[in-house]
This record gives sequence, structure tokens and C-alpha cells, in this order.
Amino acid sequence: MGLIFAKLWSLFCNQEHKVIIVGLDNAGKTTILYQFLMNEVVHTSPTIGSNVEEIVVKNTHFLMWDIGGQESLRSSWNTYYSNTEFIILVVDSIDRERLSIIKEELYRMLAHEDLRKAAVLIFANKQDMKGCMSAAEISKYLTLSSIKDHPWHIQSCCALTGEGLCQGLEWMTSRIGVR
Amino acid sequence: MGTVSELCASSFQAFLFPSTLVATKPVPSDLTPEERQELENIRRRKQELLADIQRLKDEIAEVTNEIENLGSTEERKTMQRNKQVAMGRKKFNMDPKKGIQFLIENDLLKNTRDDIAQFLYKGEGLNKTAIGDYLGERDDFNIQVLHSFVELHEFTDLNLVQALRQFLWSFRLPGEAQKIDRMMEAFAQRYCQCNPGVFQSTDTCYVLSFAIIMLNTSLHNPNVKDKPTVERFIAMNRGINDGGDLPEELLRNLYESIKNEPFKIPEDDGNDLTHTFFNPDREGWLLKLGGTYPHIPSLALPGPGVCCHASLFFCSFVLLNCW
Repeated sequence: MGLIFAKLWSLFCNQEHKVIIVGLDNAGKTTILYQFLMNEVVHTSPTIGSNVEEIVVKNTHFLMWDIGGQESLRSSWNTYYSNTEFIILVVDSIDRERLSIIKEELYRMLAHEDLRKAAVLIFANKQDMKGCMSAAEISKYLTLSSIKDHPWHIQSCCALTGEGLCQGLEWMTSRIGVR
Repeated sequence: MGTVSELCASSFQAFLFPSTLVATKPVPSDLTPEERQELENIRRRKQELLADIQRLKDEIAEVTNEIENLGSTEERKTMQRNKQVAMGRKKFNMDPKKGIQFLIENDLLKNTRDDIAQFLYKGEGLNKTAIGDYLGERDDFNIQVLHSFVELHEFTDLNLVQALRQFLWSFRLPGEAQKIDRMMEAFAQRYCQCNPGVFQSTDTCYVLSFAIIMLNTSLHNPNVKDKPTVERFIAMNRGINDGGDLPEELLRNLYESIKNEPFKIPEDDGNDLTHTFFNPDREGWLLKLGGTYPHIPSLALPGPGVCCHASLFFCSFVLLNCW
């Protein structure tokens, strides 16, 4: 009986959580994804297709899909949203000009049925660059405080050095406990 | 008597100065004046011909000499060129943009979208991952090259998956969704151009192509545990045909094709070691200088990209380290 319970428990714990990584070109999505993997040995054989990686943090499994952004993909895009629990939005903190596109994108996603339950982690990337916007500035521009129906968190980071990435992941694991 | 002594003198002179032999050659005395005249003519003609032959010989020698010199400079030039092209390829494999720039600066490649696309399409000695990186760049010019590159492919009478297989063999598809997206858009345009009437619109073809890539990811990436069924694949592609559905049979066939045979990872020619051996930057011999391990030559380490004839295996190890 105890064994069965333990098995069930481990099954529950090992349940995979689907994460989609979005953001504009050159925001640093791939760098972040592979920084997460830094401490692990990548032993999977490569596959033709989009980057998908499994990341384990404190016994929690995340399956992260790089699905980019809605540059030109039209109707079918949202089919890749289903069962998503987390959205990681990567923002290039230098790129002030395209921040409005990101904002539009963010609210479109939040309004989508399949992402109703998803929590949003925003990485304000490239904090090491001169003249970048702070997390607070980006938060203000994106009017994050107005988001009431989705848990969200903004984290400043530098994907190249890996700074701030762990804190982001920690927030994600903490969210799983809540549900 | 007088004639006899004359004769003697002339033959003596002929002996001393053979070059004047003809001019002073004795004329047999029993000839008629006409015959003498004839003989002299013949002799003069012979002399002229000999001189001509000599002149021609000299001329031929001169020309051959010239040709030989010409050949060697030409050869040297092509060798130099080949070396630079090889260097450009190596640079390309390390940093595609820099490699292309190098080739253009050295007049080895024209700076037009078509020429660069042709260069990538031939792909000789190029790393296919590097080709994919170059084609995936968001730069306007790179996107133009991407389109020219796709146009070099012939997809007529191939079904969509066959065409995709051919296309994805010519470079390594990058993993970033945005890059895949741009590439599938270019691919779909070309596919519809080669096969008019197969799809209602380029958009349908493009969305479906993207879906096939994602299907390949889901079915064959070992990280993805939850493999989609054919029903889910069909459901995911509802309404992509200008709001309508594609024939279920078509989707079923695509699904089966991908499930049975994943997209192959293209071979990376650029990393091929044989390439280094047949096309080295420098060549030379290694001297075995002794030491504790008798079979390892002591190395005055050559620079990168050097082919050594002694102990090939060891050298290949050195080469890998140099890179």
C-alpha cells in the first residue's frame, strides 16, 4: 500500500509541466533555454524541428518549447498553446522600439482560451547592456499590474552569464505548489 | 695544273672553315655551264631552307618556353584561388557571415543574392549547420538569399513531405521557431510555384509545412513524452485551408510518413576530416625525435589546418585539438 502511494506520489511529482518560450527574434530565447541546460549533460540525439528541452528543477519537470512569436504564423499558431502551464516571455531590454509589439502579443496570448490557466514569467534580458530598460520600466510599459487573471512575475536577467535565470525558475516551481 | 692546285687549296679551306663549305664547294669540272648554274641554284636553295628551318626551330623553342611560363603562372593563380576558397569555406563554417564577407572581399564570390545562394546550394565543403544559421538570419539580405536558395530547389511532382525531405537535406534546420517559420514560408512559396493547384493558397501550404516540422519534433524528439496521435494531428490542422479543412486522407498520409521516417539530419560536410587531409593549409613531414613513448613524434606543433604525412592518426588528434 505504501509502495503504491509512493509510486503515485512520484508520478505526481514527475508530472511534466509544459512551458512555451516566446519573444521576438534576437531577444535571447535560445540562449536562455540552453543556459537552463548548462548543468545537465545533453545526451539526447538531435531532432529536426524546434528546440524542445526538458529541465528538471528540484524534482519538477518542465518541458520547454521554443515557439517564438507570432511573426507571420497565422491561424495555426495557437494549436501549440494547448496544455501550457507557463509562458516565458523574453524581452530584449535594449529594444525600446519593439516593446509595443511585445505588449500587443502578450495581451493577445493572455486572452487566448488555451492559455487561460497559464502563469507568465517575463525575463527582462540583456541587463548587462548600456542604456537598457530596467525591469520596473518594462513592467510599467507593459502595464503588468493590470493583469489580474494570470499570475505573473518579471525578472531581470542576463542570459549570457546566466544571472537571474535561477530566480525565474524558482518562481515557476513555487507556482506549482500553489496549485 | 693550275686547276689542281686551286682544287687543293679550296678543299683545304673547306676543311678549315666548314661553314663556308657550300659557297666554296668545288664544282665538278665535267659539267656544262647550264648544269653548273643549276647546281649552284640547288645549293643556294638548300642553304636558304636550312636557315629557315633553324629560324623556325628557334621560334618554336621560344614559343614553347613562353607557353610553359604562361601555364605555370596560370596554375599558380588557380592554386592560390583554390586555397583562398578553401580558407573562405573554413571561415564560413566558423562564422558564416565572416566567411561570406571574406569570399566577397577576395573576389571569389559576387555579392548578389543569387551567387551566394548558389554557393550555399552547392555547399561544397560547407557545414550544413552553418548554412542553416546563415539562411535563418533575420537580416533583409539574408532573407533574400534564403528565397533565392529555395528557388534553386526543384519540387515539381513531389508530395509535400518528399519536397520537405529534399529541402531539409540541403542545410540543417535551426531550432528557433522564428527561423523555422521564415524558412517554411519561403519553402511553401516555392512548393506552390512548382506544383500549382495542389493547395488553394500558399498560406495553407505554409501552415501545413510548419505543422509537419512540429509533428516531427513531437514524434521524434525524445524529450517529448506525450506523442500526438493521428487524430490529434488532424484536429490541430482544422481550418487551415482558408478556413476549411484539408482532406483527412492527406493528413493521415503525412502523419504516417513522418511517423515511419523522421527527417534525417543532414551530414555536416565541413567537419569531415578527410577534407583537411586532401586540402590542407600547409603540408609537411613530422620528425620523430624520440622520447619516452616511441610511437609519438615529438612535435614542434604546426599551426591549425596542417596535414602531416607521418602517423595520420596522431595528427588527426592534433588537428582536432588545434581547432
